[in-house]
Amino acid sequence: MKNKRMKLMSLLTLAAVLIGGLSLPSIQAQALSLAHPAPEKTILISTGAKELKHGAQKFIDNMGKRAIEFLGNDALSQSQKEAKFKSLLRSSFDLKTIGRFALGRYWRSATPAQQKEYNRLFENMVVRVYATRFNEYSGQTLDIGTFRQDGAKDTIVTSYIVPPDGGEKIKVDWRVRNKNGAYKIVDVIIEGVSMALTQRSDFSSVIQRGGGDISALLVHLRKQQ
Amino acid sequence: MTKNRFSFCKYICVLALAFTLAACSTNKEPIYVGDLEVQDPYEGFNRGVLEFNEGVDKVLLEPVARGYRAATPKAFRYALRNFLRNLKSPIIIGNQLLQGDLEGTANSTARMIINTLAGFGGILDLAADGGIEYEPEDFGQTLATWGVGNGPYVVIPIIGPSTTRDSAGMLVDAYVDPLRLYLFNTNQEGWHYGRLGAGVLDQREELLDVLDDLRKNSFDYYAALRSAYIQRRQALIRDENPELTAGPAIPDYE
Repeated sequence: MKNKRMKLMSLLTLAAVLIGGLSLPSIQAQALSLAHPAPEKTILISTGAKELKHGAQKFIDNMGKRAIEFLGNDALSQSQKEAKFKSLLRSSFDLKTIGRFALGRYWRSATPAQQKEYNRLFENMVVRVYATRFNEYSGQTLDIGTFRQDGAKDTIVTSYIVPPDGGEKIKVDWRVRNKNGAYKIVDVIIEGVSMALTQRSDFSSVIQRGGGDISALLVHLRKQQ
Repeated sequence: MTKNRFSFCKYICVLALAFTLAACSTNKEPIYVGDLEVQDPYEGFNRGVLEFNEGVDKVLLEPVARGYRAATPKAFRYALRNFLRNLKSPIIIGNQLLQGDLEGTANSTARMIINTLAGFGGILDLAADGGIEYEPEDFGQTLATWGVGNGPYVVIPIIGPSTTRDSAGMLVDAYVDPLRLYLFNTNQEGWHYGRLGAGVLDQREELLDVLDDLRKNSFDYYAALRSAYIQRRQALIRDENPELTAGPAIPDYE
């Protein structure tokens, strides 16, 4: 029994080696030619940059380039980088809209004073959260992909965060809103998970478990500052 | 082997009983993740299981995953991940067929052949370099494409977030996996459990940063994790079709 199995296995191994050996060069050549498709050659003639057709694509590309420029600049101190990053965030994100969405239906039941405090705390939180995320920057690049229109004002721009060492890229979709001619980000969707929606789920659970009062959330937000 | 199957059945029965008991004590507001209503009748029980899982994670899974990351070069971890993914090929191809996804079936078959033969048994993902990317498929997704809803959200001990549909799918995939059947029929169960262990290690390492971020940046980790799980599954069910995955519509408040 055991002998028979050994024989079968060695036979299979032999077959695999033979098939593998014979087809390896051709398949590898094919795979490699797939990896470097022909259009790359034409890039030598063109400018080398991918053409971005939509303004929202250019906006995201621009933001990524500016962020990478100072994040990868060793002449800047950590606090300088953070300050630059925070101002870039505040100018690129529509934090008021994101905050209002994250609060969902509890916005209406909040008093004007609570709304005001929430806005301030939420903005600070988002800026801080993203600043710490980007503190982990280690040479990644932002590769801009396709775009599509969603409604009258929104464009979804697909992009990929590409690690420098050939690791797996991360898909990031940006919901970019055109507000009176200026672009602002209203959601970031990472591998299908919307940051705004996850935050909304988190917040509404905190409020519901706190008896349906927004002050339960404000307590948490204040602690974070 | 019989003993194994018996204890496995017992585990499932205990779980089923626990969920039934837990369901008796609920009556609450519906939960929405985007347009999707999520049922979580076992929330109290689920929160308990999550707490248990967090405990196990803190003392065992996370430290081991961190040690693995620290002790091995990236190239090794990618090789192991590619290898494990390649072993899943039969299950992926089978599910794509059941979903009627012929293009996906062709892609996954091509991936399996290229990576097994030219990628040294799957440790190199040459197919992805060539533009045929890995696409995770499972029977939970297949059920979803057949119109089966999520069912109640459940947190499974050790395994983590799931739904009744997805956990049923997981059992089916595990049961019909040709590799498992082969190893069990040839008295090589050791390799099967080795592969399972390697899979857990690989997945926990892959999720280190994501879960870290979610834990750190949420007030109610349970609710945030539930939301993220449902959204991620939804994206996978739609095969990450860019036309369909764009997050929720965000109103214009002005």
